[in-house]
Amino acid sequence: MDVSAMIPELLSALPLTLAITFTALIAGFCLALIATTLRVRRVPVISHLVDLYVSYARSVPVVLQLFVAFYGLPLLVALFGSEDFFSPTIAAMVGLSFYHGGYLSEVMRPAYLAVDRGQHDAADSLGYTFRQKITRVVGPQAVHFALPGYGNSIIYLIHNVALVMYIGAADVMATAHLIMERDYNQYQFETYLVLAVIYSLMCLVAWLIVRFFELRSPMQAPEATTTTPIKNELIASV
Amino acid sequence: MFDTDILLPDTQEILGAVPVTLGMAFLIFGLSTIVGSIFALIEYRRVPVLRELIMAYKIVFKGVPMVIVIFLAYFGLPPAFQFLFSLLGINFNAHETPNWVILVVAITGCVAAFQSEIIKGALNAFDTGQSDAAHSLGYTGGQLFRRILFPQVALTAIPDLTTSMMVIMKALSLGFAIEVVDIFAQSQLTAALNYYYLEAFVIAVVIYMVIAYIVTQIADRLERALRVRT
Amino acid sequence: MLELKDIKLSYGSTQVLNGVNLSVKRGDVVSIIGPSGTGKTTLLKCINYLAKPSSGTIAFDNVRMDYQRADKAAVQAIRLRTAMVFQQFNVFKNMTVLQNVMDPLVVVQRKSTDEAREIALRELERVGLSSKRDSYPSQLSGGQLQRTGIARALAVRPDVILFDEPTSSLDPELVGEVLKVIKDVTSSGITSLLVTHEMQFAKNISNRIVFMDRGVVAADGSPAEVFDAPSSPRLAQFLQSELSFQ
Repeated sequence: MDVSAMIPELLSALPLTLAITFTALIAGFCLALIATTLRVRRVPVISHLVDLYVSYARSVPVVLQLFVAFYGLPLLVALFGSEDFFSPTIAAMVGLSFYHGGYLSEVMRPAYLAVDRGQHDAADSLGYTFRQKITRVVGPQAVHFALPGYGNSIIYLIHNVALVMYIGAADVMATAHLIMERDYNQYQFETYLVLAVIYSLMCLVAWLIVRFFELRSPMQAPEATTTTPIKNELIASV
Repeated sequence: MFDTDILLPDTQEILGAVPVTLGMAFLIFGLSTIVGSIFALIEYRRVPVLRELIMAYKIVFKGVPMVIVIFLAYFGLPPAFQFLFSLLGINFNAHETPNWVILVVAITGCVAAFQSEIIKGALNAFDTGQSDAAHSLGYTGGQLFRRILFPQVALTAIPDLTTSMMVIMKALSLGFAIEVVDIFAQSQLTAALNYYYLEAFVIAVVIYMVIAYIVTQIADRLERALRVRT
Repeated sequence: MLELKDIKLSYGSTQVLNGVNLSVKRGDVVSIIGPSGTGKTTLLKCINYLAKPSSGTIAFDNVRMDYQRADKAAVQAIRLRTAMVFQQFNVFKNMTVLQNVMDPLVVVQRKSTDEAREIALRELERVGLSSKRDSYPSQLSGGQLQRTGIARALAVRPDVILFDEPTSSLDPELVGEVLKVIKDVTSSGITSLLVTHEMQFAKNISNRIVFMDRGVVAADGSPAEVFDAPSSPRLAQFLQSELSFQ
């Protein structure tokens, strides 16, 4: 069959897939930042609740998290009175943001803790405020440690965006299913191959962007021999 | 809105899917560890050609979402099996391959790529000074592997292998797309019968979190118990 | 100018500082010696509140603080007037040598970049690192890192400079270059506190030696008094083992 015929149609759903991805990237990043701050500062009670959230995001299948968002959000929205703005796309964005935030927090926290205690001491003794210390010294170093793990987390987010069709969002996967049904399910294998290529390319682009920043990091100076003190999770997240 | 009376019967129903889920998870874990170990050894020994093939395999499986791999297996495996069997001259209708077998093969394929990374990392963490020492004491290759290399590599890999186990558990949830019933699929079925969707999904969430907690606890204990001896 | 009174600090159940009293006059070069684990480093860290004593007071000129009621303003005032050189260097790994020296001037002291650069270049010249100013820490030797640390400390123009075992984690062949710089610093008249195991060096550059033992100050006097006429058997024993080792 002529595979090229379906590609433009599939790509027409790409903006929605990308919109969900970017929303989850940004909202998840903010959530992760808040969660990590609360966890490393050991705020009593709250840090335990945050721990619970992180283990929810990491040990519950993403497809289930999406369903929880899909059925749970209307309940929450109803509490606040308005029921108009709810849609599968919103549920997908919210569900994936929470997933990504929890996952990313487990990238950020080890990276923060990997920064040598002495760097804190030096900044403190020179009279840096907490904010100055974080933005000028500890933060940049933690970013360096976190980048490889961050790259992974973006790739897994892209993988998991492929699941939003199950709660009814009209993304690339859902469009593919429509095409297959219209073609009387003749070319299913081929269609999934095309999907595999599309998702691989998205992951490749994400990986190249993160890699670019990794190579630009000043701590990665040519003669640096020290290995990254944190282990990156090697396995996918679903 | 959230009915608490339904929780108990629903929980019983969903818990019924736990043994099957765990069974498939252990099967996948075992298979993927074996395949991953073979991959890791090939890379560790730097076998030409095979090594490049494995690298390509890993890149492919890193880029493709697992749900797509499962669908590709669903549509691609039966014809492939059929072809293989006909080559071997066996008369067998591979189009009747049960879906759970397809799911197990697909997830094994995905997870094996990661397992091999874990095992390779553990192999690389093993310092070669010890194998030098063993060789100088006259150990054979097999003795070196059984008595020195394996116990240490296994210990180093425990935390990551625990994560793999959890990922496999979660990956099985994608089986609902090809009608394999695990914990998640069961919660969906239960919900569809009585329309208490959120209740069923919350129960499934709790079950997953409890399993994750138990698995991590067991791994921690195991690691601590073994750590003393090294 | 600096007076510590009855400093007590414990980590868990181990009492590290057990009521330390120490006063330092402007221009003093005080070396703190003593066996490992007697709280020398911890005492130094108490001064700029990197270690948090459970009780005791500090007076730094007109800034006074009770450690039981530590207040941010006093801590900051003291931190701005002291500078610390660390055993592990603690040079900021994400900045070049020059940025390391400039950053506190720009961020904390709010100096202009030009002025900060001028000061930083002068201090780097002084420690002999002008040629390395654009290198990152990962490209430097331990001796060069420690000289960067010293330049960073000098650049903030502290009233007191605190050296915490500045040569203890250096390879033996790199100790000399750092000691030379420290000697140059202390002889310039800046008030200095030095925790060290280099006995001969301490004897040569200090006008006062403090011997700490089991969390208290066990002896305090001129180098001649402490080294040539030890006041207690434990001090004599310590000096004998240290000097015979060297």
